[in-house]
Amino acid sequence: MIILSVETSCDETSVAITKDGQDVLSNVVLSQMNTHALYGGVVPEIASREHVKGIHQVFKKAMEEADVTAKDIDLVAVTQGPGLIGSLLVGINAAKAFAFAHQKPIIGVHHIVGHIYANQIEKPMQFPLLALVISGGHTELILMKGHYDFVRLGKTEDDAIGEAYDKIARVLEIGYPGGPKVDAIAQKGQPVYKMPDVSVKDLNFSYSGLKSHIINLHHHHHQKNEPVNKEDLAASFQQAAFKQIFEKTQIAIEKYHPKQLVIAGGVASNSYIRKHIHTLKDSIDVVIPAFEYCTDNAAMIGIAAYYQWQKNPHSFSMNFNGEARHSIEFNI
Amino acid sequence: MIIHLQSLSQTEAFAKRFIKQVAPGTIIALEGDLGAGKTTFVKYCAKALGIREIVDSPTFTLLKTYGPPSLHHIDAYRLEGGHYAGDIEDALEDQEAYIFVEWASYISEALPTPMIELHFKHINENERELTLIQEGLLDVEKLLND
Repeated sequence: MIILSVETSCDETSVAITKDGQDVLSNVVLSQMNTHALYGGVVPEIASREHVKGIHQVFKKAMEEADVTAKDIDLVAVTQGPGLIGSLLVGINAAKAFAFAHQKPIIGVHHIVGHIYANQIEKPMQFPLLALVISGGHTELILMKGHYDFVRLGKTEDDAIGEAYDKIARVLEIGYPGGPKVDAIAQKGQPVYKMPDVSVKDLNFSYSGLKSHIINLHHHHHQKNEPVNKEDLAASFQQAAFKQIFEKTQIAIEKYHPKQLVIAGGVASNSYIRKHIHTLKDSIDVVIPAFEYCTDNAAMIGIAAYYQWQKNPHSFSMNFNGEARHSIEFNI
Repeated sequence: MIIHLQSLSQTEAFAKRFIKQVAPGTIIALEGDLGAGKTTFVKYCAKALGIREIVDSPTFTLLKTYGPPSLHHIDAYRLEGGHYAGDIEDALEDQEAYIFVEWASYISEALPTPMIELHFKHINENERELTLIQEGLLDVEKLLND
């Protein structure tokens, strides 16, 4: 089954052609990063306009690279949410137009489900599976007992981990995007600053206290005219941010005995987690997507769409719309 | 008026008295630096309204909606520089919802007046100083006393 998939939930315009939920025939990503870097973050209105500008050429390039024509496509899939509503609508309308013009079925796919399924490109999923979703908008632990069967075990009670990275980068004035910048300077520093002990209930996470602590520490040093060591501060933050991730993941593993742990979302490309995730106590199979499938991309949407279609074939309609806040549990 | 909140429990109690006074449809503008406690305040208001969902940061998606009762939590942090907030227009005009807007000054042109403004200032880990500008929309007596 050949699937054409579209992803425009934030600041990446992407179209991919995938086969049978496994093979990526093409995955074209047009990043707007340089445009938004001028503003120090994604500007939603600009993102929507950039998607409109780029989507045609991305469609064309994805089909050329995969060497397919419209008649080869069996299913169209598009990210329905969560994301920026204006951005989502560009991809949804482009995908609907393609499906309508070529008389193809179309389905809406959950963005985070796509990130989880990016791991299927690396190796086949094994159930029960624990997914750790870490990105600019999400910090969640999700249990899957089979394909397209999701139970959310915990989530952040305030900021997402990637958001904390972005905000700290802004206060430390080290540039955008914040995640890779903080990660890069953290590798040169030592975790010498004392960080607050964050403990929230169950398998939930919290990053707002850690964020406030870093910001205040920075301000206090600034007021006393003793510049803070940014590299050490970044290293201290990074260690504390992932301490919580590792602790909660460990608890979830002990409680639910998953066969596989998959990491999903943009923060999966962070060097600290890639280096330390294998130190989890249980000898669990850990899968992290290749860098190109960690950040937003349409291939992951096409892979997820295959399994969504298998679970619920022939159920599609043109009536779905973008959902900025889209629950992983309610909608599937 | 200036309100001193010396602990999270005082913040919670104030949020409870505050939200009782607010008529749906009124914009509640929240200002203050990163980490000043804007989202925490919205959390406590939502809790006082009986909303059980976790109210987390809306920075990434600009808008999160909860309820019933309907509550829109908007974050204009990413709209700095005067880029029009077309994506959140409907939420700003919803007369039946409680509408919180963080970093409201970034989209001041899109906001109706009068509105309630709350400025948060960080004093230390748990202490905050709150400046309330409300143009007669709230009963001050009931705000200050249980």
